[in-house]
Amino acid sequence: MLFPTTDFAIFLAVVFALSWLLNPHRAAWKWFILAASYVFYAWWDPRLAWLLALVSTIAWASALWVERTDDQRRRRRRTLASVAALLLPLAWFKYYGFFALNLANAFESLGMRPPLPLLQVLLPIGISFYTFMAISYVVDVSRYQIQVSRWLDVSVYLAFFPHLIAGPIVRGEELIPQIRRPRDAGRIDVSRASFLIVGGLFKKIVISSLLATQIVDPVFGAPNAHGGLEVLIAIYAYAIVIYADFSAYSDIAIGVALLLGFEFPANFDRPYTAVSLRDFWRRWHMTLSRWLRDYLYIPLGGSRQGELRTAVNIMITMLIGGLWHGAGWTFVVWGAFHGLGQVIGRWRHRRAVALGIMERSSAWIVARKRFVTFNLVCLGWVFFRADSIGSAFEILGRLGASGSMALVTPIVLLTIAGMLGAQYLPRDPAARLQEAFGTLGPVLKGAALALGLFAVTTLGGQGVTPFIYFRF
Amino acid sequence: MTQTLERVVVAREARAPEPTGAPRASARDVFVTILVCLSLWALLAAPLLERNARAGPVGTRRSAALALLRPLVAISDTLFLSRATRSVERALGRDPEAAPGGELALPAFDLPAEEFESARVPPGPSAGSDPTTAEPSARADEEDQPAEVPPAPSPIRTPSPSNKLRVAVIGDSLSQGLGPAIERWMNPGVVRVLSLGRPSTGLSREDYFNWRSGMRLIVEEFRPDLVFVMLGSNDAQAQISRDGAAIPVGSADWVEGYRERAAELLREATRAGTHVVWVGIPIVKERERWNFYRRVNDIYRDTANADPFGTFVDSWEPFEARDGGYTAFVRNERGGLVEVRAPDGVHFTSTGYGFLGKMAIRAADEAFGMPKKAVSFHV
Repeated sequence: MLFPTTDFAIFLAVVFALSWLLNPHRAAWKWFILAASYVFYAWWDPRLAWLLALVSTIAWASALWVERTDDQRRRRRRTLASVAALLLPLAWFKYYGFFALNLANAFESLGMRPPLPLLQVLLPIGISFYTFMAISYVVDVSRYQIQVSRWLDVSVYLAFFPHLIAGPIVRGEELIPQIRRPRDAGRIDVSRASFLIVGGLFKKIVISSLLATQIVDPVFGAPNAHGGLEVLIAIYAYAIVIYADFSAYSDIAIGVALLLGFEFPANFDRPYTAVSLRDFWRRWHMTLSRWLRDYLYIPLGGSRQGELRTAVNIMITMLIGGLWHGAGWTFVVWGAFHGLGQVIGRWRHRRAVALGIMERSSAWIVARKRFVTFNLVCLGWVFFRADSIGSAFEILGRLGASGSMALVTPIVLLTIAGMLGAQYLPRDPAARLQEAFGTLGPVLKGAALALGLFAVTTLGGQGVTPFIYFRF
Repeated sequence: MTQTLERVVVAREARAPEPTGAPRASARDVFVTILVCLSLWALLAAPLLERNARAGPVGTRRSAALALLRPLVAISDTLFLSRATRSVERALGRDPEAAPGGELALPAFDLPAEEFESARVPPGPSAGSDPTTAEPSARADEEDQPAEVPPAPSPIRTPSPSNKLRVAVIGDSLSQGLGPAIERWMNPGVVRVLSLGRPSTGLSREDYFNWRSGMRLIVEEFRPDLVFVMLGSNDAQAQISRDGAAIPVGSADWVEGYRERAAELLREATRAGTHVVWVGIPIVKERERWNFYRRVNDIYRDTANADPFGTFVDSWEPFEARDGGYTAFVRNERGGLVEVRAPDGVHFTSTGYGFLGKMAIRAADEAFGMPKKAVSFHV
């Protein structure tokens, strides 16, 4: 089910009412929310709902198996085996086709028969997200950070519909305790939830759709037909499109969870104000960043084993982070680009410290760093968005070309500038606005929200495209 | 001194956002808020929702939605809310009375006016009476006349940087992928391509989006030299006639009506001297759709080949597996295996659209003769 649809609005109203009615009866609530989450999931495509149940069961059984031994070596082996079991469905559904195709071409170039049949496997939506959550659950149990939960709790944790399709990637220690205890029916943060949901819908339906259709899709679809300025603005526009699209999903997910009494971690923190690529990853898809850090980078040795090993660990982490987004060489390049950028940034920082150069932080220097970082991130987005590496270079090659500027319209420029400018706005006015909204009575709140939704409905274009991160 | 990656990230842990100081509400109050919000929004947006519901495929869901929405629209009218909604739509430059799929709006095309006026090769069939300048009433009369038989088409004219070839790509979501592919294979120095595909459109549901009107607008405003048409993948549904009656898919009336719509769509372009390449529906993964798609492909083939300004290109057989089944992989010109079909089993990957674009341009060359300088590959 897509968030920005009438179907979901009705679904949410029904689930909200029943969820709070069943809230004091925890077992009944869990079964109800599990059923509702599967309906939400299967609404899109019912064929692979069983996979979610399978992964949930593997995660639950694995955690039980791991917990049964206190022998550290055995525990470690069991954890590795469990992680491998959880990765198998992801490997099959997401990466088999890519792997088999590349292997077939490599074998044929050597005059040998391809070893694996070519298959195009249907990708279940949300599999990357719920697989990573399942892995974190088993590893957290193995690290004694959380205790094994019942099958029902684990299933609700993984299937809880607000985060199911595209995150945030919530940890067991964050969500399972909330699942177990009744939520406080008298303290719903409706103000923040409302702003997140309506704001998210606006970003998705109005901003993302507008820029995608007006400039991004035409330019990335046929870069040879566009001049340098159009290409440059299309690249900046794509940076806004992917931010508006993905952060919209996270905002709506967090807002919906709040309405049901649940707190999710934040997923974005003004990413285009970052002063370095490392800083960018502290602000962009924050729940994926911390997953990669805690379950990959640190287990690899982190920064504890010398500079070279640290650099290797960063590269491995970012390459896998890139591949997590999709089975394609463009994602590998994108991950490598961010990894290399962080390694170089780290090396520059160490060198400055070794030379005793104090890092100044004047407003000008910060502005320069932000400008450079934003443009580096945009350079990375070219590979992320392009159909192939060749196509990415073709787009970059067009930056110096002359040509039409028909797509560089005032509305496109204003939207990009507005969205970038919004990242620098102080938080206080928005917080005060939320507080003021919170003082309204329930009917007035509803009326104000209706006007907001109506504005989004009329300003948005025809239909709603799926969120970009649905593919991941 | 140096902060490790983990320390830095721990310091800015992906934590729950700071709660605001806004007063909290009870579940009962929030439920009231949700109900008020959805009810008022439904009243405000009732005309839009009703239009969207009408656009759905004929069936239980559409009937139920319309049954629910009609009273809402009536209430909205009584409270003058629908009037406010229509005013907002007009203020945004939209026609509230337009079909649910909206109207075709041509993007800006940077052609000088004098070039535009002089660019047209005088079209054979309509040189005497230019349909693009005819009054609407005169055009309506003209539509009722039997179609003239166009003479043999002239080749596609040779463009120049100051007098570009005008190409339009229209149709459903398949054409939305074909458009950029055509644009990629054309030389932008001498060709202007407008990719005008609209998702969820076709010929069955002209009450949702009317491609015949769309083609008329394209011919009047853009005066294309060449149009690529690719649609039909959404057409396995009842046609809605002008009086609102549903004509079941597969019935004799449906086939006759569909054939007529296809022919009229083509005529809208060819009687102005525009060349048309009609790209057939490709083989798809779901075998249940094959019979329907083959039947409408036959209609497109017959229609396009009957007009000297039209030609049909088959996209079924080139994307078939050796055993006649569906495959997502084919070999490229260098013999390497490439993935050409999207995972949904209907659409193409960008590589696949590239192949399809080349096929369509080659078909245009075979049928009408493409100017060499207009194309960026060896035809």
